[in-house]
Amino acid sequence: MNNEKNLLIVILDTNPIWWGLQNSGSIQQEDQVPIHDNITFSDCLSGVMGFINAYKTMNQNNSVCLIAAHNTRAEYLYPAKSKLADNNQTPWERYEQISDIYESVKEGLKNLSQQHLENLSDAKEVKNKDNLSNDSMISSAMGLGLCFINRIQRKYIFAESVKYRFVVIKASDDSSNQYMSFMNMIFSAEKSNIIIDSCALLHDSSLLQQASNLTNGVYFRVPQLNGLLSYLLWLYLPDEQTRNMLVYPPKTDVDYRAACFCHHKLIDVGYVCSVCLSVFCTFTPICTTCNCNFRFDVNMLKKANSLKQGLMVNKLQYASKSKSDPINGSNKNLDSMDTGDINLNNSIEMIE
Amino acid sequence: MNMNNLLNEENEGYIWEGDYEQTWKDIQEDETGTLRTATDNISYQARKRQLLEKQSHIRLSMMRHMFVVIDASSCMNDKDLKPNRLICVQRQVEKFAYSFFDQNPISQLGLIVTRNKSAEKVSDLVGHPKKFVDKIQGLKEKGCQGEPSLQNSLELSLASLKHVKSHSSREILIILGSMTTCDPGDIFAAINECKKYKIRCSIIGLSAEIHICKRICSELEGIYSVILDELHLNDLFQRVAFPLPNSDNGAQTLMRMGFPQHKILKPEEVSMCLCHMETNETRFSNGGYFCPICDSKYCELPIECKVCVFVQGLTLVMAPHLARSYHHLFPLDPFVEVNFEKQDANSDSTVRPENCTGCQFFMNKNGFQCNFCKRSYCIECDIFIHETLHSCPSCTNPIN
Repeated sequence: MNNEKNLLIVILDTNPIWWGLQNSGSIQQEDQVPIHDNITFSDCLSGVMGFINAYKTMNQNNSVCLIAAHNTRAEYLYPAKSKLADNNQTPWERYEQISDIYESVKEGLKNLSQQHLENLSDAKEVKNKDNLSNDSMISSAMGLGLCFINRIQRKYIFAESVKYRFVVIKASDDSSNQYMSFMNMIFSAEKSNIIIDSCALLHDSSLLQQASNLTNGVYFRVPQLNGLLSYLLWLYLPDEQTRNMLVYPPKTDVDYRAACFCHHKLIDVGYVCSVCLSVFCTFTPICTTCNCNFRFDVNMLKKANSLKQGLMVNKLQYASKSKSDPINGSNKNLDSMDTGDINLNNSIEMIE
Repeated sequence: MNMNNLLNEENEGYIWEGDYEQTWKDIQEDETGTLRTATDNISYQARKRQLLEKQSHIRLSMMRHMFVVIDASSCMNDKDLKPNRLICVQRQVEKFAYSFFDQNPISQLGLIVTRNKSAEKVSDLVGHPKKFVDKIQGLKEKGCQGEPSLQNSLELSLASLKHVKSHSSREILIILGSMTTCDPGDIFAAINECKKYKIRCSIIGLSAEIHICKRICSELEGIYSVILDELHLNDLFQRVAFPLPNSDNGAQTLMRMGFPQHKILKPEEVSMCLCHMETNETRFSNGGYFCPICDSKYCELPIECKVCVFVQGLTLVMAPHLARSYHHLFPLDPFVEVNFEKQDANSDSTVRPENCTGCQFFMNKNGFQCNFCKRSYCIECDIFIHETLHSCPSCTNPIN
């Protein structure tokens, strides 16, 4: 038996809202006849625990870290804080009873939901929709996992040879304001050759698809929650080398189109600012991100047919956006915008 | 620059004026009994640097076209860098290529080698680190000969960089080991020519400061530095990999870009890709990236569409390519250092967190706090978050 050490980081989506909705049957699959197989969160958790136990018992060099992604924060469930602080043992030297894992996970979940409730009652902003958003802090949990890996790599000499892998079990919807941090996490995982395997429950997640595709991991959408454990065991238990010998579901095509900064729509062809690489769907005279004035290329003007129309729309946006401008928040934008507009109109008339 | 390197950071005087360094005193034992060298100190320096360098809201030139000029003259056989200068530089340039493309995803690198009083273009501008690194591998075999020529190298890179579009920054990086240069004509004319095309030139010297290099760098707005040791060489390369501020106002344009989708066709629908047409090793395959306008197939991105170039020009990229450089746009603010011991003495209202939010390990007396979520991190996590992660794990929303 080889001495290669493995560390598996499991990220579990514990978003209470999604699980509540799922339980009441309001989240169903788009393409299939609704199946009344609503399973509770604890069913799912026992599936995940079964998977973790199977992984740990497969090889004594396997170690696990479980992180919960709640809707407001991410928290470690296992290993528990106290264990890490007390022992100077490495995660691989700890031989615990399986019940210990259950104990610490139970404790962690209890704290998490209690804190959540306290936050809700403290703030009394239940009406505020942000507090009840239906997205989980997946990227946050991945950040914690990467920090953990980084720390292990620095602390132990043998850590160079350890193989790290993520398994992300995600239930809730993708949120666009996590895009940037999520991408940052993917890139840093990619840099240190960490595989991200992802498992989307019921709905496809384009973020997870990209994560797995960029890091050579497996992406799979679980069509039925009842069979969660068998899916986990069958797809996510084997390591990278074993996978070559098994038959896996074919890789799906991932949508790598960018969303424009102005309308948040996916586009095929767009314009990109040469300074800050912001994406726009039509030609705009000023970059909204870095306040650059763009030079007018007459050829470009001729060819942009929908230019005039586009400008009208953009001007409206500038009016609304300049208040929340991330860089300067100045109104210079609007002033220079007007003069730019006149120049542009002149030049269009000249061409015509 | 060179003088600054020799001066200690706090301007205490020259290094040779300082006390004898007692390096063995840096080694300490930590609670667990493992030896801990002065890494804490080094980490602190890294943090200091990060605080200095992170200036947000500067217009950076994200599109870069850079020629790396490697000196392969006879002095590169010197063994002051292990195993010798050339091999050491070669390794460092390989590393540099990967971090360059990581930081500047849609930029291009080219390679020029100067030996025997002439300059030779080994690799044209390419947009993929693998292609570039393949070309460097062959460097050793030809060996080091004769003298380098700065003028020839400048002129050769100028000939290629002239045709690069004006909105991208044109740069030259010279790694020079020799103390001499053998030029056929007036090097100042070459410098002026480069200046006309707004080319920036940085030089990394391996031996000692040379006047002509200093002159080139000051004329062409580059950085001239002379290395202290291999670690310092690595540092200097990392600095070059980071995009420079955009000095040329008015050169910004909107670039037209396509976002092709990867499609896998049916097994019987095989086709050739356009990117391997020139090399005569035509490959038939099912899948590939298809240009959204002309539907021509490519197997790698980013690439300039070879058909659309006749119409208007179209660069094909993926969204993650662009997203890779967004951390330059929205940098993470530095964390505030908090001393828990002092805090305990002054007020007992704030509870001292025992474990780092990031890695859960026990925290020493100093923690680093994020301004938004007020969570504390240990120094290891702080450096990792700022250097690699670029977003705080507990708030994950770099913009707000």
